[in-house]
Amino acid sequence: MTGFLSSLLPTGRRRASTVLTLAVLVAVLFLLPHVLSSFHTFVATRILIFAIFAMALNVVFGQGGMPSLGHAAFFGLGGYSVALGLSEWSWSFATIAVVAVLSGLVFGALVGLLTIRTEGIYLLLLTLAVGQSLWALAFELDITRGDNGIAGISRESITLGAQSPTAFYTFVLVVAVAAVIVMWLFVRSPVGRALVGARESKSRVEAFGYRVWAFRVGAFALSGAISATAGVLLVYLQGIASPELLNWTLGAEVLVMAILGGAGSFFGPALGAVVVTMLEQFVSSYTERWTTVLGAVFIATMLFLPNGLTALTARLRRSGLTDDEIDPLPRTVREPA
Amino acid sequence: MTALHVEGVSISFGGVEALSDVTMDIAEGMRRAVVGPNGAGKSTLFNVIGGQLKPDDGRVHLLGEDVTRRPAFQRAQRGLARTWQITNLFDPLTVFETVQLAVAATGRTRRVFWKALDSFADVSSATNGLLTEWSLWEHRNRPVQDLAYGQQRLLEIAVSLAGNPQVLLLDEPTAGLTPGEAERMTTIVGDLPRTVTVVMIEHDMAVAFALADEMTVLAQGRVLAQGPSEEVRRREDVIATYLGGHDAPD
Repeated sequence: MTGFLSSLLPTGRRRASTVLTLAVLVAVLFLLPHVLSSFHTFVATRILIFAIFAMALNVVFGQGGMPSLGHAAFFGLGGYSVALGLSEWSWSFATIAVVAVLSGLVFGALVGLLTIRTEGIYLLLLTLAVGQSLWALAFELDITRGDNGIAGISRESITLGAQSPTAFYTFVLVVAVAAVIVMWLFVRSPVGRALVGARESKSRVEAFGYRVWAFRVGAFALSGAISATAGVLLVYLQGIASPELLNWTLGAEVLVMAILGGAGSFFGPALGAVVVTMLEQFVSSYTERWTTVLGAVFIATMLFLPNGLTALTARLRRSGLTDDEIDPLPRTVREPA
Repeated sequence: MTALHVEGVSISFGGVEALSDVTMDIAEGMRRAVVGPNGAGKSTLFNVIGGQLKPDDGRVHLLGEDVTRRPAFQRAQRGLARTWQITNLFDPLTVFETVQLAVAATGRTRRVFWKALDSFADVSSATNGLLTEWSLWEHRNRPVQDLAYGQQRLLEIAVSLAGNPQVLLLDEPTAGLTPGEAERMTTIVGDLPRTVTVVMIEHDMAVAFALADEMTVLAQGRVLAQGPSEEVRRREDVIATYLGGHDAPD
């Protein structure tokens, strides 16, 4: 168990400060709903859900270098698993969770197969086409009730007493921590590192002996499963599943979160989710054109912090370190005798 | 035993024949230079051998096994390693991370997706060893893009050897290097153990003749001549076509 916990953490001299920062962050996040109003707890829950979604997208986009505009498809699959499972088949929460995660996993792997023959802008357009096909299905089918969607979804079926806003927030936070641990282990594993390498040079990573295509399919499968999980949580939060869950505009919004926060960093997309969701919730109370404000923030960030908002924190951290402390070595690296 | 056997390989791009009926046999432990003017098909031949390109015709045998239809990663797992004409590394990754990734590709570690790479002590230990052996230890924390070009070439050969390959393809190892760096690279390649069969593309004929036991001369996608270096360098057609009518340097 100690080994497992140990492998979760970064290495080198940053280890102690990272442990402390994460401990404080998680403690604050758990305490948050006890000091917030129900509306703000709702917003905080929404931020957590979109943080999970944006980080899941970033496993393929930021780490793997595979852009996707169709990620809302996975999110919507999760969302409709809840809506259809409850309204049509009276499934238990456990069944809904398993079906949602598996459908995201399998559909993610299928979409991932596209990466065998396509990259870059072509992959972006193909994922868009796949995502919009699912959106059209949800829009047209009787069972999904078209544009109106499926409303009246309650959280009563969730066990663990997660019905109240505060309890549901805590439930979402626990799921978010679990999802972050899974993604963290994946991106730091040999397979995850090979994915990052393949983002820079696929031919070189293959020449090392890595089966890059399988890793890319796996990354899409993992990303799909976690995106679907986020979709489940959002539908439970807002009580309705509509085709908008599957629309490319949602996929684009999450892509903006990842880029704004910093697609090159693990936690960057979560920061992007905080900024975009806050803008959406608070600016929209003053003007309907909150996306214009988002656009301005996005442009300013790209102009002054092209690597996203996390580049600012990295810059601040570096300013307080000596050269020797920057980019410390993994703990397993020791000066050879 | 034959380390590499290329048999009747042909490949065309949009009607242009890049390689035509190329055949060569390289015994284990040999150093073979592939030379020829620009556009002769040398890098295309390497891409066919490495699995980056599929030939229209012909076969490639690696250590006795037909690997013609096998993808690049499977050829690597069977003992083939290569470098590229233009350095092919991961710019933002550090030197340590790059070598670590190469080391982790050997064995079962390469399939692990649930455990951090840094937690594999054997991988880290082998990485440290390679970094020290190749005088890259002091650069371990620098992103690859910050290294001087000569160091990048060195790193590329180091990572190619990380998996203890039996056949190593070097595509112009001295290209772009200063005379001092080229001399050092020549020494390094010359000192590689004979357990590794080396096939290299080399434009610098002095380097090629210094290192190679055998030579294949390509011209317009065809084999013009091949055999022991001493024989090839004295052939009239090679001197006329490739050496510009002058004798090869000693």
